[in-house]
Amino acid sequence: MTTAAPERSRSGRFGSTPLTFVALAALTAAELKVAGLDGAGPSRATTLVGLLIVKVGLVLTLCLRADFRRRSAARLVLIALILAAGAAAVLMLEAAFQARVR
Amino acid sequence: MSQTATGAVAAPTVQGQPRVGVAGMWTFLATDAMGFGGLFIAYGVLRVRAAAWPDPRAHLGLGLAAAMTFALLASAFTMTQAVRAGGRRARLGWLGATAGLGLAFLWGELAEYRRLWVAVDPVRVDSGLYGGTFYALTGYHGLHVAAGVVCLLAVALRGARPRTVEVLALYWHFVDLAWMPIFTFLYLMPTR
Repeated sequence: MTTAAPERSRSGRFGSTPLTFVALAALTAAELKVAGLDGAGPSRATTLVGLLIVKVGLVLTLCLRADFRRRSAARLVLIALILAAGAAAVLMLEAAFQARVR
Repeated sequence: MSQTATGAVAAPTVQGQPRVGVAGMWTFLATDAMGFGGLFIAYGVLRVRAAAWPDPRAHLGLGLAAAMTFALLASAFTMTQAVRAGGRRARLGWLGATAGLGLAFLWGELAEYRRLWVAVDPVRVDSGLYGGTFYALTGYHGLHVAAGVVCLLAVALRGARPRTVEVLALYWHFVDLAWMPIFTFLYLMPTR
């Protein structure tokens, strides 16, 4: 009775299914398809980055089992958002300054 | 250590050990992610500021890189199966499959280096920013894969304890994760 518990907890920890890996393979195939298309570079780049974000999210949540419900994870996300907003503000101010100098 | 009912000295409790192992691995992965992050930032800045950047499709073998990517994805699946395996024999089998796929990935990477090195228009470490950043990023990742394969074999030889495999799986999935932006930005991202 007690021996089943660790097995359950291990499979619970890495509870991803083969479907996850099929999805990752499909997303990679989609990336290859998008890269092979002829068209505007920026739109292809945006699509590729979007697909990359989905893949990374899948691996983070289903393979690495990053628990985003934890308070520490929420704090990390908040810090990352503040840093991103700060960096964006600095870049915009620099762009405005450069435009004024020119 | 504590005395058991039979008088034997019990082994230290292992209740906290997996948590310590997992926490230690997460700490290592966080620092390692900063290494990858630094390389990606350097690559991004150099690429954006470069007057011209070669089209990846003109130099790099996309078919081989795609095969390497699928090998790494398959190895993530086999690693997950190793963690989930109930018996030692099955666990060893899945670990062996993971190591084999890791070796296949490394073989593909070395084949790509060799092809680029001897091409008519070669891409080498000293071929400007393009060659330098390409070898730095893929080489850094390749070293991680090689280290992972060595660890997989070492863990398999030492009996493949479930908790050790679980900690090692975190590393392997991280290596898999790190390849994804390399594949997208170095092999697929169009120039301008």
